[in-house]
Amino acid sequence: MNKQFLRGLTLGVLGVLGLSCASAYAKTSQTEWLQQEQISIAKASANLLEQAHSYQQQVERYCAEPSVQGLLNTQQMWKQNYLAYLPLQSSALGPLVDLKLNWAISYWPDKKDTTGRKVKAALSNAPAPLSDTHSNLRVHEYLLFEAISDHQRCSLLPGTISRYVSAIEQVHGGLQSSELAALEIAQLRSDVLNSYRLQTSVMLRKYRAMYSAKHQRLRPYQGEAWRADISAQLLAEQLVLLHNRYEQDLALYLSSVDAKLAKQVSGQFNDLVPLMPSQEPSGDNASLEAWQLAEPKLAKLDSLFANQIPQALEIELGFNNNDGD
Amino acid sequence: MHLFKLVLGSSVLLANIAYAEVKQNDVVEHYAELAHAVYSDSLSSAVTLQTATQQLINAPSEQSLNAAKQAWLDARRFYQQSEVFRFGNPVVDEWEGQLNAWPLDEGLIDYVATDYQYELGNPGATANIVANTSLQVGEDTVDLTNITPELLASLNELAGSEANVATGYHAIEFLLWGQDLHGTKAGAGERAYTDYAKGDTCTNGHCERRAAYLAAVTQLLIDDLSWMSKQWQKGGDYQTKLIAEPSEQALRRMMFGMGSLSLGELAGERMKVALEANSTEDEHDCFSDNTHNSHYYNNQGISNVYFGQFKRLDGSTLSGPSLNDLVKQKDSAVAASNTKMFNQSMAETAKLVASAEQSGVYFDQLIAASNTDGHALINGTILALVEQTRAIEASAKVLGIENLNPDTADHEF
Repeated sequence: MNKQFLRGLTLGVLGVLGLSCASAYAKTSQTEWLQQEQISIAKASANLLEQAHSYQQQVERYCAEPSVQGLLNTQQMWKQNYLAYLPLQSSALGPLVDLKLNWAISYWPDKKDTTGRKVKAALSNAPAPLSDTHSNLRVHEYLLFEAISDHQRCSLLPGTISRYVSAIEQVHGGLQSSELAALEIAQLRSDVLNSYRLQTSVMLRKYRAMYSAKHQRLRPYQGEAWRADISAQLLAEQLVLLHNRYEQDLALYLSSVDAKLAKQVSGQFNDLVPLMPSQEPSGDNASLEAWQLAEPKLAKLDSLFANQIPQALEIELGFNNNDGD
Repeated sequence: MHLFKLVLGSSVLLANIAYAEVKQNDVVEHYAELAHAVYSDSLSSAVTLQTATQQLINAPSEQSLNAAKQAWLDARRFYQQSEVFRFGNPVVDEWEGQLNAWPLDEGLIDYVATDYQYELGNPGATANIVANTSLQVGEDTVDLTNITPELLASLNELAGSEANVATGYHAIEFLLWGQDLHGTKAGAGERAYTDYAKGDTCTNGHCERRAAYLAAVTQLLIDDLSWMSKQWQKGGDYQTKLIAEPSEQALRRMMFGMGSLSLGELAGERMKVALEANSTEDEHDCFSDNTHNSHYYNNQGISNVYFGQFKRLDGSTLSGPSLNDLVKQKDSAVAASNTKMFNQSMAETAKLVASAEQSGVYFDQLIAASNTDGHALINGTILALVEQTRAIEASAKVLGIENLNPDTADHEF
């Protein structure tokens, strides 16, 4: 018998032993919620691993026989990897593990373009390798989107892809269902809910890096993928992915505890998704107004996950990497 | 013997009664008193810094430059212990940027190496206020003729870039040390005293304006610290507001400040980022190579609040009712475990200091890509700070403080 089954059995027995129907329902729902979350996280992790391997194969093909089409295909695979990573961003277990792995996959924030400087230095001193931290998707972005030669790209891409795939394998190992199931239930509840909160928190951070409400100004070079000019697009898609996850996994359980709040959260997502800026902050037609409109709504969504939902579910989230500046 | 036992028993009883009498309100009042002491000593040490910088300006020499640098290092000890008050108290968090914003694009202030690393898209990154009497930002022209505290304050976050930091400890640090061009190798900034020399002996030009900058930015630091010290004095605006709050909310502020500094800011932003990126741009006191002390005294500030103690500038120790007392009253086992965690994290941060001051291996050398021993040392400190943060969370739980963020606790939507 596995631990999950035993946990379910224990809860079932407790229900029979006289807990109220409402309480038993809530506890059963919590178990179902956590099981569903574990399945979703494991699926997202498996998808990222699969995408990473495909990406590595594409890089090998491109570097074996460089071509314009090969580069375009590699760029496309790069984007797919980013999209596969976004649902897991800031959701790895443990704040410092999370921080380390985030950088191994997407080194951001990067105000002073450390990524660009490291790659430039490595290119000028080839074959000097880049470190594990500087073998991530933002380094690949430089190699794939800056105007450099195929030879230069391929002097660094295979090595960095290999280290990137290793980082993904490490993430995958930490996010296996069996690993998650081994956690104490209180820790699992906290980690799973925190993964939502950290997602909204990092999205708000990205948004505010590109848009300063205080100065009413767009900052095009502070986005996560400004070299590929898809920072705003990635952010909008990350929100959609989180919305889908919420509706599929958390909404039902939250409804069983606080239906009004669950509806409010759905409404907040529904209001925000169409308002997310579709144009990059670097674009000639970038509208400051669009950025002004969505920012308070994203901040409110973040507040819901940081405060009201944990309170409703009686889950203490504790400190995390985003406390502080 | 019986009498001795009776006296001893009475003493123990009295001690227990005194111990049991620690109330949340007492702890909050002492927290404000402690904050006032820290800001007062930060102010006093900044006044000493001003005297030393004025001597450098009046009579530039190797000796007067070194004295000013030492005064900056001494002042830094106290300010770093104040950062624990920052995250839980908006009055501090909204004010501190003018004193300690970081990292900065130092090319806004003075001359820099041609290949220096700055924030992309920052129009002020190479403005060089020392060398120029006007600055063009978009369609606006800023008059820089007279370098005053007010002018410098107005240039912070110029054109919306947070890297435009014209004031505070790091601006002064840069004016005293200059850029550290050694990367992850040994050595700090090497500004010569002749950057403040008069007449033909002036190096790198504009010595008078550089001196005016140093005088203005130091004056602003003193004005700011003076204001904050008054906020926390007994009957001061913020002290009055804080002790009028429900004590649960004030304790929440205390613990949120401690935990945010311990994990997100110190372990994360100031240590893990620099380590993972092997980036001296992410080193806190990057011009002076004082980062080891900066981290140590940040952590000391966290311990100060937990144990209700502060070693003052004059050598005396301020102590009073503490979070530790409250936790001990509720659960002595948790208190004992917490004490161990706090002591362990102090011991780990002390190793950074020993590495720099005894072995000559400074923080920017520890983060070098090839320095595996250095990485282990920093990771050990980070892990100790993580455990310390857990101790803070455990304290909150024991004291029944839920939702640790005071900005959002009891928030209505």
